[in-house]
Amino acid sequence: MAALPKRIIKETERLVSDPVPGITAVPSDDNLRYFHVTIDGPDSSPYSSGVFDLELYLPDDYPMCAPKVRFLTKIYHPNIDKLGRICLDVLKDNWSPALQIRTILLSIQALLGAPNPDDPLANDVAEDWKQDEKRAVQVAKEWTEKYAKSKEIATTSTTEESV
Amino acid sequence: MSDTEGSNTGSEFDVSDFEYDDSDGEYYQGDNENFEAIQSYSKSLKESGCKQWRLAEFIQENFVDRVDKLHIPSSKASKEELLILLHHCNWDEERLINLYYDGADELKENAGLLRSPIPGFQVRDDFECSICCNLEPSTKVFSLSCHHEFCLSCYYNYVKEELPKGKLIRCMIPDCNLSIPHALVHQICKLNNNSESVAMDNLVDNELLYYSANLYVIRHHDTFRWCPAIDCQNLVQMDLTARLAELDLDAIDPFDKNYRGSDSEVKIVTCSDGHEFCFSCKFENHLPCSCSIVRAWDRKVTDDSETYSWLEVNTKGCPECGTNIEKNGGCNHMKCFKCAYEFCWICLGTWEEHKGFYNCNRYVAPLPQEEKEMKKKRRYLDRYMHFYSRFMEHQSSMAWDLKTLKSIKKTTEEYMHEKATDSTKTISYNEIDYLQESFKLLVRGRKTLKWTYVFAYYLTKSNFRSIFEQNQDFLNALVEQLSELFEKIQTSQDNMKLVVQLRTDLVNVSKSVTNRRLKLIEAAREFLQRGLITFDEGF
Ligand SMILES: [Zn+2]
Ligand SMILES: [Zn+2]
Ligand SMILES: [Zn+2]
Ligand SMILES: [Zn+2]
Ligand SMILES: [Zn+2]
Ligand SMILES: [Zn+2]
Repeated sequence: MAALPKRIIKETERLVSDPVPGITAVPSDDNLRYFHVTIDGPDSSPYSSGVFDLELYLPDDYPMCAPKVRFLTKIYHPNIDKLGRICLDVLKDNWSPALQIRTILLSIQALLGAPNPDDPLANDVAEDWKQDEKRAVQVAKEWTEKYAKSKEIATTSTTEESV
Repeated sequence: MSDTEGSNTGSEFDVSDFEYDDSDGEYYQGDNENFEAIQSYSKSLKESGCKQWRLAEFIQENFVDRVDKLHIPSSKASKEELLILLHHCNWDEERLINLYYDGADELKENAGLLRSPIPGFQVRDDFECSICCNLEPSTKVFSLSCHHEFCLSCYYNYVKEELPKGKLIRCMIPDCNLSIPHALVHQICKLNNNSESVAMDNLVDNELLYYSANLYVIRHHDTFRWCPAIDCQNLVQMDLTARLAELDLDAIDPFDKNYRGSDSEVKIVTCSDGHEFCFSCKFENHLPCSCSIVRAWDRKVTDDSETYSWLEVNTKGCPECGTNIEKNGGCNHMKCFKCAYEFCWICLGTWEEHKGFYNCNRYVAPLPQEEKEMKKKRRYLDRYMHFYSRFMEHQSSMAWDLKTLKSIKKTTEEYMHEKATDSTKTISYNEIDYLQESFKLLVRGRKTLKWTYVFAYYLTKSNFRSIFEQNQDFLNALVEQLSELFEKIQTSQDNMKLVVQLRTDLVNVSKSVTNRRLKLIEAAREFLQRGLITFDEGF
C-alpha cells in the first residue's frame, strides 16, 4: 500500500490522544484508511439511549474529497436511508479540505440531535416525520432500543459484541 | 421500371423523375435547378436561428465583455471584482444590478469579494500546512486577504477538485467564504507563483471561466449545446424562438402504440468546425429518423447487441468457393480473389443481379407456407435482422469510406506540396477543389442511407413503405457508385490523373446522392406527419 499521508497519520493520532466525547474512531488493522466509528446518541434526542456503529473510509484524494461515512446500525432518521447513507452538506458540496474526521463526526452527531425532514434522504421517514412528529420520534426511540447498543452495556463491555 | 403502387396514392414522392438507363449502367437526371432548390431549402432548415460559438468567443462575449456593460464605476469595483460579482450572479447582469442597488455590501460579502489587498503567493520558512500537515524549511504558500495560508500544492489540488463545479472557488476555511479571483485561479492551475504576472486581459483560456461556461450550458439546456464531437470545444446556440418543444419530445413514449409522430421536425445543427449533430438528442445527423425513432432503435440494439454482435465480423465466406473474403473498402461490390466470383457483401447474392438497379434492400417476406411453420417470434427476428444487418454494414462502410477519403486527401495534399518544386506537376487547385464537397456528400449520403434502414424498420406496411424502399434502393445504388469511384481513385497507379478524369462523374453522382437523400428525408417527414410510424413490432 502507498505510504499513508502525513495528514491522516496526524488526524488518527489526535483522535486517539484527544478523543471527542461520545465518539470513537479506530482505524482498522489491515487498512489505516478504514475506521470503525461509534457515535453516542445525543442527549434529549430520540437516539439518546443508544450507541451507533458507523464505518468511515478516507478515499485516495482525501482531504481534497470528503470521507465516506455510513451507519452500520439501523436507524430511523429522515436524513439517513436504509443503507445507512447520510445526507449531510459537509459530506457533499460543502466539504472543505480544512474540515477533519472529527469535525465530520461531530456534524453527524449534531444531525442526530436535529433531524431535518425538509432535506430528506429517506423519503418515507421524512414524510412520517412531517406528518406526525410525535409518532416518528416514538419509532426512532423504539428502533434505537431494538437495534443500537445500549449505552450502559457499551461502556461496561466495549469488546463484547452486543445484540 | 414498373409503375409503383405509390404513384396513385397522391404522394409527392415521384419515382419516375429518376430515370435509369440500362445500357451503360449510369444514372442521370436532368434538372439541376431542382437540386439547388432542395439544397437551399435544407440549408435554411438547418441554419434557422442557430448561432455557432467557439469556446473563446463565448467566454469573451458572454462573460468578460459583460463587465464593461455594467456601468458600475471603477471606483466602486474593479474589473476583477465585477467579474466575480457577475460569476456569483450566474452571468445575469440584471440580477447583479438589482442586488447591487439593493445592497452593494451584502452582495460583495456573499460573492466573497476581496476586502483588502491579496497577499497571494508567498514563500514561508518552516511552514506547516494544516491541510497536508507537511513541514518544510521553505514552502510556497497562497492566501487571500483573510491570510488563511496553505501551501500552494494543497491549493492546486483543491482548485482542481473545485473547478468542475463551475462555481466561484472560495478560501479553504469553510466559514471564510472569500473568492479566489479568476486570474489567480489560472495561476494556481499553472502552479505559477509569480504574483507580478497576474493578468486580467487574457481570460479566454481561463480554467474557471471554461467550467463556468460548462455550467452555463447545463443551466441553459434549452438553448445551448456543446458539440458532441470528440475534442471539439464548440457550442451551438438555438434561437429561443426557434427552439424545440423539447419537453414534448421527452414525454413521448416510443413504445406507445398510439404514438403519432409529432416530432417530425429534427433540428440538425453544425458547429463552427462543421460537425453535424442533432440539437435535441446530440446523436449524429440521424435524418430521416425522428429522435424518438433513434431512441427506440438505440434501446433495441443495446438490448440485443450480444445476440447479433457476430454480424459485425468483417469477413464472410465467398458464396461460390467458400474462401474467406475480408471487406477492404466501403463499397459492397465484392470480388473473390480466388475464384473471381462477384457478389454483394450484404446479401451474398451474385453481383450480376445487382448491377445497375441495386435491389438487395427490399425485404422479401418468406412464402406463406413456410411462414406458417415459423414461429411468430422468428419472423420478427428475421425482419429485425434484415434491417439491423444493413444498418451495421453501412455503419462500417462509413468507416471504410473515411479511410479512403483520408488517403486521397493525403495524396492530393502531398501533390500540391511537391508541385511547388516539380514543374512536371501541372494539376491546379481548381481542378481538384471539388473533392472536398464530394467527400462531404458521400459521407452524408451514406449516413442518411444507414438511418433509412432504421426508419424503414418502424414504417408500417403500406404503399408508402414500398415507395420508400424503392427510393432507398436508388440512394443505395448511388452511394455505392460514389464510393466505388473514390475507391477507384485510391487504388489507381496515378491517383491524381484519375482525380481530374473522374471529376465530372464524381460531381454528378454526388449531386444525385444529395438529391435522392433530401427526397428521402422529405418523404420520411411526410410519413411521420401522417402517422405511418409504429413502435409495435408485431406488425
Ligand atoms: Zn499543504
Ligand atoms: Zn480565508
Ligand atoms: Zn464540433
Ligand atoms: Zn435527434
Ligand atoms: Zn470465391
Ligand atoms: Zn445485395
